[in-house]
Amino acid sequence: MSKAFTLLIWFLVSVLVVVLVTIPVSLQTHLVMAAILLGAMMLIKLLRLEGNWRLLLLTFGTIIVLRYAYWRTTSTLPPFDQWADFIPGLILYLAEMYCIMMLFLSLFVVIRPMPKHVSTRLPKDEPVPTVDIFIPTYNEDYELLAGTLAAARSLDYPEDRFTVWLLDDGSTDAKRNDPDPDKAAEAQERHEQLQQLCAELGCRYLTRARNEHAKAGNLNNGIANSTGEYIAVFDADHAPARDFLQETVPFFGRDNQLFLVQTPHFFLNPDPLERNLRTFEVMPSENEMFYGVIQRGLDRWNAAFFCGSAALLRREALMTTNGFSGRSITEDCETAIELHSRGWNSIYVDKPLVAGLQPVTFASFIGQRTRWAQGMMQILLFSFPPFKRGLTMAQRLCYTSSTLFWLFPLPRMIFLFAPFFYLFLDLQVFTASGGEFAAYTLTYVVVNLVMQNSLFGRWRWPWISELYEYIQSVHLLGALFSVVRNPYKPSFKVTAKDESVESSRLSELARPFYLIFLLLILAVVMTIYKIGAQPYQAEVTMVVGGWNIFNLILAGCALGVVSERRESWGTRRVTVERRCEVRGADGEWVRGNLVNVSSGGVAIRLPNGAAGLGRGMPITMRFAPLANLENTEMPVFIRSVTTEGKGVVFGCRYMPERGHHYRLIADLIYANSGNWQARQSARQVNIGIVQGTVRFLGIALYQTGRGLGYLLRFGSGRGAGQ
Amino acid sequence: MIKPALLSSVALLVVLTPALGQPAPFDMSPESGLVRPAEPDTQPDATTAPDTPAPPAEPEFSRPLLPAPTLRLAGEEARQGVVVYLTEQQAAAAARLEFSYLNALVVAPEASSLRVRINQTEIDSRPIASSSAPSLVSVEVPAGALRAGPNVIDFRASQRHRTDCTVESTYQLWTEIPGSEARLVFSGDQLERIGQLSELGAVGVDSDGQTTLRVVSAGLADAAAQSVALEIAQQVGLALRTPHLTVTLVDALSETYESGVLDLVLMPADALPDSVAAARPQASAAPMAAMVPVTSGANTLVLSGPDWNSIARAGDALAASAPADGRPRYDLPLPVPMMAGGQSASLASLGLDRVEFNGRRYAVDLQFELPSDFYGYRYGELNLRLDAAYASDVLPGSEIDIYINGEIASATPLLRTDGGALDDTNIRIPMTSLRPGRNEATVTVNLQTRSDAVCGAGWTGSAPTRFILSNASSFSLPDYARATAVPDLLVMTGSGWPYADAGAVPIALGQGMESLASAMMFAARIATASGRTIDFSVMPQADLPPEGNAMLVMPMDTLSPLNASRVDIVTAPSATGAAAGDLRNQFGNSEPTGPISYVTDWLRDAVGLEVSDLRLWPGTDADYTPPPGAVTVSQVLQSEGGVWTTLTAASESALRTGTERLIDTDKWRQITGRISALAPNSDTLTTIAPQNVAIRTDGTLSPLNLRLIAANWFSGNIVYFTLAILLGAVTLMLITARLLTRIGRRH
Repeated sequence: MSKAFTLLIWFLVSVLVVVLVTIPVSLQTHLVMAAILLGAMMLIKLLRLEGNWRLLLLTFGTIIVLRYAYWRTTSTLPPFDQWADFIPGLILYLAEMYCIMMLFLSLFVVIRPMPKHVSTRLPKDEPVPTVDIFIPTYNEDYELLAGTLAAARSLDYPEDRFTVWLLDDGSTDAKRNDPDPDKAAEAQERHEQLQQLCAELGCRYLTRARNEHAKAGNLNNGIANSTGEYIAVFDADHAPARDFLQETVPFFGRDNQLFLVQTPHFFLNPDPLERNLRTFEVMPSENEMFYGVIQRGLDRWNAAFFCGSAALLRREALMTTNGFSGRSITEDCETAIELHSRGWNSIYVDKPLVAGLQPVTFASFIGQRTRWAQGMMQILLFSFPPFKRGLTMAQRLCYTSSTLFWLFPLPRMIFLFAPFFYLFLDLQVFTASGGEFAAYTLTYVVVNLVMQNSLFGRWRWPWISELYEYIQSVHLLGALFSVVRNPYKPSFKVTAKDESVESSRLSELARPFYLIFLLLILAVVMTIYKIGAQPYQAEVTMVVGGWNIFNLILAGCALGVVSERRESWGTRRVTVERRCEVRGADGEWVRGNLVNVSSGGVAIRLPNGAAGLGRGMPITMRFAPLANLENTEMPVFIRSVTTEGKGVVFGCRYMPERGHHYRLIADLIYANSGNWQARQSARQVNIGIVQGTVRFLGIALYQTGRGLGYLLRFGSGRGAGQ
Repeated sequence: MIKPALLSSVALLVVLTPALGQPAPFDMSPESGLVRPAEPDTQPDATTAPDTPAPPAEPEFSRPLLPAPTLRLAGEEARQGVVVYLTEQQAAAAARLEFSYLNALVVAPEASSLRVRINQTEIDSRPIASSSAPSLVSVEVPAGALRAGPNVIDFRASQRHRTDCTVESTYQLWTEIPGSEARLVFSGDQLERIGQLSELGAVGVDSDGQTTLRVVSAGLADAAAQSVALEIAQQVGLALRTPHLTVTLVDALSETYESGVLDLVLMPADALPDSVAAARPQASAAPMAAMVPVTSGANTLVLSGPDWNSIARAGDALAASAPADGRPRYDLPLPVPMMAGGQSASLASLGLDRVEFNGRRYAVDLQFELPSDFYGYRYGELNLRLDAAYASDVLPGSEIDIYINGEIASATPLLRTDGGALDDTNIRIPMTSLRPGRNEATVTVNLQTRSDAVCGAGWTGSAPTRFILSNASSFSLPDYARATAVPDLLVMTGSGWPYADAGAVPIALGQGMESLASAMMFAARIATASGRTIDFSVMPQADLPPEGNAMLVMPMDTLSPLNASRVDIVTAPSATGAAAGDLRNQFGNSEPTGPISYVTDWLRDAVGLEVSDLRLWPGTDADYTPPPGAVTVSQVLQSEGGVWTTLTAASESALRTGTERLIDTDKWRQITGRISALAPNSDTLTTIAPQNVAIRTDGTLSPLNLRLIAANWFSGNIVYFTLAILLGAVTLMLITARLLTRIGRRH
């Protein structure tokens, strides 16, 4: 069968199924059918059947969701002429339809994610292409940049075929001549320090006259001053693993139209939710769903897009669009959609090859998400993916899915407040009896859970998506409206990532969460009152009240997220097993081994005693780096000493003095990307709906208490009001 | 939902009610106040009456009124109307209305009233105070109140309990008017005479509420003559407009006039008896349909002509002069509109006035008609858009209940405790109990109020208005599927389907005249229910085509063995056969018991799921053994395609007496399923639903109708719906899997 013919048959079968699904059968008929399909879905899930069985599960789910959508559309909207019911009813309806549309779009995207690309090496006899490595920076500090530059310099690639560029936007000519003499001096100092660092590490330093077009402009300045065939981009806080270029460059040789090889962002530190809820070690991170399955799904449709960092791009392709696009504040995705629409291809390599940092505080997390949401809205407005010329149909759907996703704050807030219409205002925004609600809405919700779990279960626990959406929605909603009001207004704000939470406190953005929580509590009280006072409509009240309680659980959990736990920067440790030597008090080298490393320090075990060393001493250690480095000695400082039987473990802090010290640190932390992958896959376990729900409830209960406790301890005076 | 404007209207209601709700003073309408001397008023209209002074003892003529043995007014607000057809002369004559009534002891006279209206004019209003013995009432009808043709006489009772203020107590309230005592009494000579065919409706009913057609005929053994007789019975039935028409085949004309009796002389001209010899010359020349005066004074209709063909044409002339359209039936004074899919009808168009109510339980019956191919009872919902308001006195727990054909279909609580308006409130009512033909919807409002909980002395009658129902409220039907499930006797008894207006229908009759009379009654009853006639063609039972629709009316023992096997009735019960049949029936009808019944009961109660809807294969339609002496109707879809309806009993006489009982409206409306049987000493029919059902449509199958038919069919065959979905899903999965190997990046 040819492709067109298969498509035609598929279309006909789909039409037939839709006709079948929209037959207005009785409630009982729907219930029996839905129960049987749901049972089959659960069986497929329990038996972990893959391949076509997974497809069948999704088809069953699609049918029930379609039936829900049909019923919701035809039977539940309040009458048009009762505007007080109709308008909120319509808004709720549209929110639900948005969710259903997004479900189907994401179903399309991840229907069959690409398996891992087989990694290849460059052919021996062919010339090795030249690569420029761009590390744009704006305000990141010296230490961080030193680490990243050092890691980039250590890449496993012929020395003469790649150049590392530090693109410094923090000390442009304009900044160094700032009217404010303090600022000017600061920029000048930065300028000199970084120039010095680059010289020590063998990198090129580049800055420009003015900060035009933010990150895109900075990168384009890099393009204008370099000549390499390919361009790798790393954010200042994204240190590449040694094999980054080995894993990415060979793909370009196989496809002349390839413009992008994107790799995942892997983070060494937890985001505020993971940190405050203490789920970092056990639960898959938020971004793992995107990099673990969505990008792979997009890759099938040749729609994997550039994520701003950890990617390799073809200069020739970038030249066709005059470099990186800078209209929106998410230049990465915008560049990708432009190049895709010109017939260039992209590839996504699902192997963590950079390790980075993500925002530590809730406020900077929200700042980062605001930029993403606003940028994606700008792309939606400027490029409108569904009708973007040059894209394939599949790419249009993919980009529509990626951009429309960021509208989630709207439905999330609508779902949050919808129960209030009934509980407080007595509006009937959803006309259905308790039985209908059970037969249609309940099966839909369960089917939705099963489908989401089947698609994303390994990368996302149940209800965690809802939690992430909720904590972002409260502040993102306004940001979305501001884009719609003035699409050109949002400006690029660099996300701060090297902060630390020195003491436990409430986030400065916490106040609305407590207010919402209070409202939800009032709604619970109202529910109880209504059940008592109006027993004749207790059924409906209980349904709506149950929905409100779900919101309350979510909001309670969010209180924990905005209650910032104390944690100093750099304490996330990675277990390693490498040998090392420490110079003892007597000047002799003592053998030991590295227990774990972090971005701030390293733990060293000496099996045969302390060798005369102790707390508070500066010492020198050395180890065999993976990269070819001449000087392998590094100064560290002993912060703690723990005895372990005969041996002793020193907790040491790095005391880097010169550039090559940073390369040693980078070699410790970033050298082995296999380590990161192991860490990720340890977390990527589908714990199932039931266990996931139970765990979520447990977390929510605890975090609600913690959130309220923080309010009592830190809420008065400053805290939330800051 | 809180709208200031509505609240203020409720407030107004509360303010006004003390004034409105004053108990009607029981001295307000002494009957004398309404009685006027009839003579002077009637004289100017009466063209026949000369200006001679009235004779001292003018002859009186009385006509029974009720198309039923009794008229019962139950509940706090009750209304029953009847239609009475009058001739020109009757309408013009001085008349009085006489009836007697008896009421329940608990009806409080000072708070209750019985009102009578003729054609919307109130002619009498009195306290209901006749609990010990029937009271006779005689009311002069004001001149001009009656008119020729149909007149609606409306009895309305407003009844309040003496002591109780509960909803339950309202069930004890009743007033009964026996048919034997309710009549119109006219003054004048020869008023019983019906001179024209168009006045045939004035034949009316006898004191039992029945009408009798006495057929004097000759040559009825002939098949062609029988076909004509069957047709004419229907035409006369439609002309008379009475629901219950008994047909007797007699040898001689009546000896005297009796109300509710029509003599029909039905024969070729050359056989006409001497008493109607005057008609002979005209009938010898051409078809003739006329009321012929006879010496006895009995109303005599002559349908004649040179031969039976022309008699059939005479019948058509009769049908043209007294058509069914636009002439209400005696027992249906309110409009019964036909409701098409997507149509709505206001309560006003169903005959309801605006309601202001101060009692506890208000109930009103409304009727509408559905086409014979209404096929939406398993899935759809009809909508009642309610325009109503209630006072702040009303407590939660009050309810609006809708019954459809006697089955509870929806219960809507009144939600607000502070009084409110149900403005454009939509009540969705499952169509489960709707059926083709005439449907009865009962809207009831049960009001719990704060003041009723106290229930002071005399409060039942003096409470202020607490509920207002606007007759702008409306019923609306969704687009429903158009198809007919066969067999279903109900569709035939209500709509004449599939026989009416469908060309000649073969029918086989028993040998005796009583079979013919039964067939005539049966056919006439179908006609009066549906307003349509069936064109019968009588033939020997051996000639009935199994591939075509047909009917059989004959005693069981005369059914040929072949036909007996086609009608699903055990015709010759041997002792063992009957026992086996009974056993089978018992088994077939019994509910499952034991642990399974818990599951099935739960499914039915909690989810509304019938286990029979889940079956994969239909059961078998076993032959039925009727109880001894019963009259049985069966409908069987022949494997060749014909729909055969059979009316049978053990003997000719059992057939006739059984049919006479069967055509009583209460029993007639019970006929349903594939078999319905009425035992001699029972008022309840035994009905058997078909296991195997075929779907028939009228030929045109639009995709939309097909979809709705599928919805109804799947809703009764749930497993098949699930299988269809599963099949669709697997197909879609396979083609998607195949498509996925064709599109997108491959590895």
